[in-house]
Amino acid sequence: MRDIPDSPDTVIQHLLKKYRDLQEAFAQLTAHIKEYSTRRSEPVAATGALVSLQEHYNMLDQDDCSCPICMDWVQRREEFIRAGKSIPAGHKWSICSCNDCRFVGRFQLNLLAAANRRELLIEMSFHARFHSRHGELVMAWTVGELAQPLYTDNWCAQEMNRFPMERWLQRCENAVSGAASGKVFVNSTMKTDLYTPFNSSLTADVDASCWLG
Amino acid sequence: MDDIKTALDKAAASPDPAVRGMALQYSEARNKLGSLEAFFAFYAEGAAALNGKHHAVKPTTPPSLPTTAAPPRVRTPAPAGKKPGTNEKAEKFTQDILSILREADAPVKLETLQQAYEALGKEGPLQSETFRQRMISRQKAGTVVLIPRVGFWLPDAKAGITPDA
Repeated sequence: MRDIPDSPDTVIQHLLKKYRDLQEAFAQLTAHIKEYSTRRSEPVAATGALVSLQEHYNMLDQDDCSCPICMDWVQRREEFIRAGKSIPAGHKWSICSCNDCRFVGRFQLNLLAAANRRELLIEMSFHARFHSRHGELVMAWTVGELAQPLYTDNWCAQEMNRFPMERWLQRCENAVSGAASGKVFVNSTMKTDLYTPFNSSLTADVDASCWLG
Repeated sequence: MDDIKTALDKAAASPDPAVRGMALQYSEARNKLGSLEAFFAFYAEGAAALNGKHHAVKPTTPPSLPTTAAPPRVRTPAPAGKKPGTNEKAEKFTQDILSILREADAPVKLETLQQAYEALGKEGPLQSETFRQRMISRQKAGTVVLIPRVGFWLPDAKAGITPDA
């Protein structure tokens, strides 16, 4: 700013003081951002979900399971809302190419990535709960897989939902079957017989073998 | 300028929520600074127009805007010879009551007084106050006196009249 008016007005003096404080904080923040943005910093992951990962399919958005994927989703959703408040008046961030709007778009992409990861987790939890005897191994593999840095935010936001669920189940089958010493999923990947001798504990315990002769 | 733009983009995409929060804080601070700078530029423009003679800004009343509302009431002065705040109708009522009492030459009970006043035919039957209310207000003002169980009478002629036992 070229010239700040030197006024005896107390309101102006207050605003000037606020302006100078803000400028100082802004300079520090700029230095921090330049320093930290080049670092590969990993957040401290939360450990120990309050709710079993296999119960994710049954949870509402308001429920707090405290697993890292859901916490990330909540956090990024709040960040997106916060970023949306800095959209300049008259701009439509989804189509505008100015820096401010692109900044908001970055947070939307972050949220989309977190939402896709969480959706995959929910889908896998359903299959782990109802179509596998090794649900714990399945969910452990899923969480470990999604934590790999190869799955970048951009990929998760734009590419992840292009792959069918069967592909994830197949990959999980291949990865976990060694540890499970056998088939992991009983009927979702069409690898096992039609008749399966056990049912989910949540369904009615009806013996269907009489229909099969 | 470009390096901070790149750094901000990287910070926004960081897996660390603390770094992303820093990027958000940067963006918010930049917007605040921008609005303050705009205000100071506007203020400096006004100061320059006054050739450096600007002083402390005093709180002023907001400028009057054109409105379709009715113009404010202008207080009209009272006509000459009339005291402001006097009620002509009430004054006339007092004079009528006093003349009735003088003609009767004795204290008059409320009902009789009301009948005598209505016989004059100066007012309609509907008034904002009842006859009794108006008489009590005159009694409180000292215009008339009320002798218990006798009736209303002139204040200066009270002496010598005692209520009936």
